[in-house]
Amino acid sequence: MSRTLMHRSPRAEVGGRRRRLLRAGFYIHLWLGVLSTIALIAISITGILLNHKRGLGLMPDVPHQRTAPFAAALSLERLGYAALVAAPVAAKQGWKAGDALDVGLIDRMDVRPRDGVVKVRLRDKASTEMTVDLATGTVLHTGRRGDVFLEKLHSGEAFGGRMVILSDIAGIALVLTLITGYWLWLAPKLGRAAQESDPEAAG
Amino acid sequence: MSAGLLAFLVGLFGMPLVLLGYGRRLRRRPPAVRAAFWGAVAGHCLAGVLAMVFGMIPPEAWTPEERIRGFAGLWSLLVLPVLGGLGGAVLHRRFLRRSILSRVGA
Repeated sequence: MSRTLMHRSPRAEVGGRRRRLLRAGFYIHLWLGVLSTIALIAISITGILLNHKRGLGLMPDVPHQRTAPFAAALSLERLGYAALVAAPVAAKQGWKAGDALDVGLIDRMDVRPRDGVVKVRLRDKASTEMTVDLATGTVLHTGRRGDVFLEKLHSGEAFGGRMVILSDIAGIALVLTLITGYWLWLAPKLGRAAQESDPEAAG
Repeated sequence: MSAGLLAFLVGLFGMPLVLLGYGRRLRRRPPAVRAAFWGAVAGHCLAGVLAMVFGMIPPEAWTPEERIRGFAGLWSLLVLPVLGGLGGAVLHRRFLRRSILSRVGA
């Protein structure tokens, strides 16, 4: 074979590189798409449910008017105690009224000064939450927080603290799939546009 | 890492990888292999739906004696594609044998 036949023109090289890129994009799109399908569907469904958690009753909505200025609020210790007294027996894990406040039972206390309430969430399976008046210590509502487990499922934390990497993998896969999808759509058009603008070189 | 979690991860990421590899040049493969492939794909799709439905059962509803939730949520993504693949291959052989017998006239 002669040397001239062996030598590829720059245009043919560009075309070859584009075809290789297109092929690589196709396989990345296909493999990552199939690999991350179930994880992405789960993340999407849990995300939609979390967006509508109030409407779906996953999160209690307790309308309340502030009864006293924030300066008159009870101490966090007393509010936590009042919440634990009102908690269901299963959530207390052996704790009873009269015992010292066991902070190990409490996951978090979410203070809402504008509404005059504090939301005390326990560390039980149901993520029981008591809404307590900041000024009087009256328990306004006791219920479970269904969205906590959904959030953990959404992030992958439900499978263990380190499993948030699952949603990371799914997120990266989604980004790469979107980019390669765009590339697969646009690359043939770009090639055609280049050929049309330079018909002589296209031969 | 528990066995259930390992099975879940293998089912979630390993099984689609295996199926993708297996599905390459599928038309050139023998019909029994193709039937096994489609059986495994059907098993994986079914397992995905089951895992999602059972995975959303809130934790306070879980009981220690319950086995179905654990199976559907963690093990099904691995077990159902394998069963689907085996089922596909077996069903294909049965159909093949029946069609051969009908052709022979037995």
